Amino acid sequence: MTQIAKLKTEALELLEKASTLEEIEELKIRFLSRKGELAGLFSEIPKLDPAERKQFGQGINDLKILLTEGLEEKEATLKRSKRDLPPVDITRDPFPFRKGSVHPLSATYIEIINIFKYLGFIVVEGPEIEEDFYNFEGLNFPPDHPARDEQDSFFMQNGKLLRTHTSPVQVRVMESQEPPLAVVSPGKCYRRDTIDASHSSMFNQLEGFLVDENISVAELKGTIKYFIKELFGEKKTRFRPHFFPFTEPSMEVDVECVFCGGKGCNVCKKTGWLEIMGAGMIDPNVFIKAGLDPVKYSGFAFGMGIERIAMLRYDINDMRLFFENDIEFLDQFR
Amino acid sequence: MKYSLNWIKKYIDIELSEDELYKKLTMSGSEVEGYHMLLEDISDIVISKINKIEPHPQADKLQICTVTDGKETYSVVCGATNIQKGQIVPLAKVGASLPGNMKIKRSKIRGIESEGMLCSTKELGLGTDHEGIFILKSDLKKGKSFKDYFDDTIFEIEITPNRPDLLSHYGLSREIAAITGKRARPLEIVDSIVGNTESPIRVEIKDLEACPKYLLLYIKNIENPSSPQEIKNALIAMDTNPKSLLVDLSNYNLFETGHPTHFFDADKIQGNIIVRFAKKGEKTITLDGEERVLESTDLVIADEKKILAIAGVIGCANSEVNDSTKNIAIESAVFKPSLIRKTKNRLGIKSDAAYRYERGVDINAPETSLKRIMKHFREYTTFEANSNVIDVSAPAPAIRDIVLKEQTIKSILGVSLESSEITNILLRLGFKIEKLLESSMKVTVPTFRYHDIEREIDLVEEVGRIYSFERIPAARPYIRGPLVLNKYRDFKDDLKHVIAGRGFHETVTLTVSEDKLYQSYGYQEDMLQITNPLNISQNVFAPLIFPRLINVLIRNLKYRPEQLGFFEIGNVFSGEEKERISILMYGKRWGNNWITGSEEKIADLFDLKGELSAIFNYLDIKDKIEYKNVDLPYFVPGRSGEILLDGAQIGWLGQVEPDNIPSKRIKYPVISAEFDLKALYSDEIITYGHFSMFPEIERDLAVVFPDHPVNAEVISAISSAAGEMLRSIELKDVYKLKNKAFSLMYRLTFQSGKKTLKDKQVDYFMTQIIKRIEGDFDAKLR
Repeated sequence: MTQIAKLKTEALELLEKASTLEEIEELKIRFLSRKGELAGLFSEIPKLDPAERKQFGQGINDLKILLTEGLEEKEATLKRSKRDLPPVDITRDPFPFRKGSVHPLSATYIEIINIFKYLGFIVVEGPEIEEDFYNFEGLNFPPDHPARDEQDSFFMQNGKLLRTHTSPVQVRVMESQEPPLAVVSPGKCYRRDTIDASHSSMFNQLEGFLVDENISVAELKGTIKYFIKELFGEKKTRFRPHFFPFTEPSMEVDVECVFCGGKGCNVCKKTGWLEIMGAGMIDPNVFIKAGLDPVKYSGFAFGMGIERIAMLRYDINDMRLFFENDIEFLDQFR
Repeated sequence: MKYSLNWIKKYIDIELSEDELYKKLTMSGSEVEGYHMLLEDISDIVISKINKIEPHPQADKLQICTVTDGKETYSVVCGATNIQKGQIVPLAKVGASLPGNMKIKRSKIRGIESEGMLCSTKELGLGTDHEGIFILKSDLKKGKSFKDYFDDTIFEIEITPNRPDLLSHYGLSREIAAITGKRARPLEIVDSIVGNTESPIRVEIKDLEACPKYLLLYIKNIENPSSPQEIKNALIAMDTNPKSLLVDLSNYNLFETGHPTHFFDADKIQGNIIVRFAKKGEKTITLDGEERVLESTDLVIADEKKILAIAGVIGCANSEVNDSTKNIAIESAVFKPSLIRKTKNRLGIKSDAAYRYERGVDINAPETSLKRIMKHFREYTTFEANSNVIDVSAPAPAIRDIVLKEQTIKSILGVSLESSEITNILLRLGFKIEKLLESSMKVTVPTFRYHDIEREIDLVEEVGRIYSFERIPAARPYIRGPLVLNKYRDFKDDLKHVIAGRGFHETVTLTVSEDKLYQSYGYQEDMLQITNPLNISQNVFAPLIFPRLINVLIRNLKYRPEQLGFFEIGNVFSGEEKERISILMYGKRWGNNWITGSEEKIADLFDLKGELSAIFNYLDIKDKIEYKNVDLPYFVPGRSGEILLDGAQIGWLGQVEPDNIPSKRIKYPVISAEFDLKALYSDEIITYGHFSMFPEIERDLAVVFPDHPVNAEVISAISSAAGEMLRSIELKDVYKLKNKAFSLMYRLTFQSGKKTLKDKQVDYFMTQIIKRIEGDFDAKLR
């Protein structure tokens, strides 16, 4: 046994001293090779007293494992140091890096559309340069009716107009497809409004509608409440009667002010409520103009201003920021 | 529209607080935008009595009044001439506030101390009269606050276009009655108007559809005093200046009943009144002093010589009531809403009358209004005689009955209502009900709701809004399929993220923009004009996107002068409306930095082309895209090209002509690409093909061309000559040689899918390629 202990001391000492890969290689040969010193000790075993053999063999094996691991570790360390790669400061600037961003209106659209897609709505887009029929007539706006005042239109040289809302898509879809229909329609709209903090001649809307048999105000409320919960979290909502020519009954939907929690602040004009969309049951005249049977089908429709929602979501206080495209503004979004 | 709560309370008892009333109205469809006290700027004005008036020792025009509020006496200097001992007047005590941030201080006026001020209506914000002190009724209690008698709550309510019946105090009272379950008191009117003189003026209507009802009442020798304070206060609360009784009563009636009437000076009417359409080009001067040129679609009230009024819109100066008016003719009529609206919009006239006529007035309002005005005349003035009411009308419209089924209520509102609840709501709103069999009822519509209640669904809305949408339980719908997903929209949204991820900022710019912008960058086609632009800077629908991205670039140079990148997806109109994308790159790909040191890279065409390749690769259309060198007007000559997809042009790429860019700050090339978006979308599914495990062989091919060849043409020639083992060609180097000659070096990679290629085989391919290149391009192997 003293033989093993002696060899162990010597081998570990040499391992400690070794500073080159060559020395490691020499040590491997001297101790671990087939004709090495450990192998030499194994050949001693038959000469021993049978009672000692087992313990002796175990001792050599332990030493073999110890040396093998020690040599491999040292070899790996020496190899790495031989590559000579200096360490780097990972906190330095990346190269090259250019940050981009998706416009907050696009981000808001994506978020809203995803909620409706989850419910089973599909997306349909329509033209921005629209015919009077789709923008007004088909939506039950009689010609020369004051309801048109609220939607002062840009008229085009080709006899069309710039759509004042995304509702024309309702008529276009109903005209070409049989219910059931569950559609949201995002897009730009235009009104002859002078640009200020809350108006713009161009703005974005999302229209939505569901047409099937047996659709009522209850389903309208269920859909809108789900949407509001997903977008704003658990907030109080209220459905306030209103008027739109293309829905009957019509309502506006208010959500508890996200800034003051309903206590009343400047954003909600002290009312505690923020109006976020118009909604209602599709007027039978709209079904008739689109060629659908208003006795068989019913449905609801809603429309919301994307700028309004983005302003609430991102705490933006001036609508002009969306269209000025200042890099300092855009850069704050992903 | 504004409403005075005092006025409303004449017709209905309201037990609700103002806040409760505001909520009830808002939640039944009349959205209250706010309410405020009429005299909120006023404080410390008390009712007081003048005990003594003495002359001011230093000033002839001033007097010293001793007034009392019942407890104390005050000495007040006053310059008005209308005061007398014993009168009741408003006293602003020291410390009082008046409108316009006026504070009353103790002060000396020409040496005499004044302990406050006696107020005129103007100083109190209640009128325009500032000559005299506001003399109050003698029964007002001394010492009481002036506000106790004169303050009012003003409600601002948004009345939707379907509810013309709410455009008056009486109309709103009726609505409040319905939502609170009370009853509105009837208007005080005379029972009937019986004539005791003949009207010298008769009425003729040329078109009964345009004017279904025209009533005229002639009054002889009427006094026109100033109105009683009650009428004045009511008008002031409506921001209308009181003038004289006759003018004021016409206004008062409009705000009270919602029905416009017109008072003519009867002596200025020549012959009879004729309601007719104007002749094209006919002219008249309206009450506002403007000369109006009329069209044949404008309905007018005329006499036999001239136009007296533009029907339902505005009167004319020639027949106006004034101080010398003795005899009057009162018009109380109904006109066709769409006609009034057309005329009013074309002439650009906003009047209270037109606002109501274009929405529609109650067919029965003309009689009521005349009876109401007659009642006021008897109370407030004297006249010698009146005529019978001259009535020229089309037959009265049929009584409107609508059948309402309880089942319809359930299927639209989603809630089952008791028959008694439905009946109760409709009765409160003024409908009459007759029960029918099978859970339905016959509902008779009151005439004041004829303009918005025409169908069963309109009744459902009435029931719903009074029952309250809040009480209807919410249910999530089951949405039935199959529905076709719109993957194109997803494609666009994904694309935005891909491009943003490559360092570009998405912009949203105004599509309605100025034609000059596009022309200044070289757009030469006609643009789609807006016929009624708000201003010249928004006169077309954009034919291109990139000029607006350059505007965004210029705007942002002040923040980031060295490097910017933008993109936008939007519609353009160029022959047709289509969706395009534009990408702009500017400045340094990288500036000096700790890795490359002072070595900078300014973005050029090929940087943007690289970005486009990444995008096209993402869209899996890279192999379908080609570029073609074409000079385009927007770009520096020789530095632009078309982008082709499957051989068809979808857009272009180029270095924007710097001379066209209106900014001196631009110091680097502006690189722009713009192309159709829809063409890029494909819903083809990628099919996996096996890849080769055999080694690749690379060969370099250096060729001298007599002139610079088009790279795409060389590559195309190499490809067609090489055979199918050619995997890729890369342009590795370009040298300019003498005499316009160029040497181009390509690296070609060959690989077989079935076996290891031998050098000999590749040698053969190379021979074929060289032969082809030399033949096609007059080139030589280097």
